[in-house]
Amino acid sequence: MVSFNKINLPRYIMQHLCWAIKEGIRSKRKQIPCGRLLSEIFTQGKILEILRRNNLDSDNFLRTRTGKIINGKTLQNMKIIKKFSPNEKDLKESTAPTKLMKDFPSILQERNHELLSKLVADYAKESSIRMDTEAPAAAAKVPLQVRRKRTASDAGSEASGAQTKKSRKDKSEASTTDNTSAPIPKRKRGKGEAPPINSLERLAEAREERAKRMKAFKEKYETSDFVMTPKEAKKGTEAD
Amino acid sequence: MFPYFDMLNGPTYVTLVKDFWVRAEVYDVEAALDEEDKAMIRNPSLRGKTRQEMGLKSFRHTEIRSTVMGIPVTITEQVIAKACRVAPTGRFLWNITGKHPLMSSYTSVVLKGDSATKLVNIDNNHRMLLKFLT
Repeated sequence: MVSFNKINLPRYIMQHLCWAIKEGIRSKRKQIPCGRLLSEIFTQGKILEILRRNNLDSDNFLRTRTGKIINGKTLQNMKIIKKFSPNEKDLKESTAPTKLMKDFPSILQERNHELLSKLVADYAKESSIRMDTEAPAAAAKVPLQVRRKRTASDAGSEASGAQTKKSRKDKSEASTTDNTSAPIPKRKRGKGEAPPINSLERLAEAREERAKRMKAFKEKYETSDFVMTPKEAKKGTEAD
Repeated sequence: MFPYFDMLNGPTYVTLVKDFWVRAEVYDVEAALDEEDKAMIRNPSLRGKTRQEMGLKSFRHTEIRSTVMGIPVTITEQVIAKACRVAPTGRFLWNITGKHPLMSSYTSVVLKGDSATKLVNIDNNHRMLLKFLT
């Protein structure tokens, strides 16, 4: 924007979302960015349509909210204009969902509608949401039991990263071994079949190999990030 | 950009957003390499082989994976671009340092050449842009 060139907004949003998710896992960051955009993706991605089929689309249940509008009042507060006189024709907050786009890329990993409905029904059952087909609004009276917010030390949370998943898997493995009385040794990185990293040399070697693979991976699959040339930087400076 | 601002005026489904967020995971280059490492730990003979040979899906781009009300969903840059009604093209800079040429442009254009310029003293257009972004 500073150099008056078009920016890749979707990539910035994607990068910010990824950063916020990782930061939420690493630290105790609780803010959820781009709530409206995520809601739009759920609408266009036909999640709402699936919920509608399962009578779980009431505003009370979904806790539908609208954000504030930046208007003349905002400009007045920012001391950009002196007086704000509202008009009836001014833009108002809308709660109407947007029209579905025909060419919206699918966000669903599963295309089978029956299976998706079953997944929602199972989830609602687990979360003790009442699925009353005769009175759809009844579901709204029962609060959704959202799982605990994840923290870095949250061992029981599903969203606390690969380590937690591994430990959970180990636990489930342990429980199955108890039943079958056939102990299976736990797999650990650096032990078992893989050569152990027991020296600093091997650690440095492993890191070097990983860095090489990362570089090759990025070259192969990711587009290179924009690097500003001195000429373009000068153009931006002169634009003042 | 107007379709993007039109899109912003609409409902937000708090239940769905929170449900999505608590289970969200980033599937990026790091996660793909971890996947390969795990496959190699299980079977060391796979070392040096391609993802296809390891029985893994090919990595295309960074994804955000989660579930909403039990439904598994994947969000990519393309999905965001389509939802924002903007093209996924243009310049992208991330993790730039203070020595980057852009920083001098920022100081001269936005901060009027003085890095100590206060927010109220910057240009109204830039203040409005900042308001949109925050």
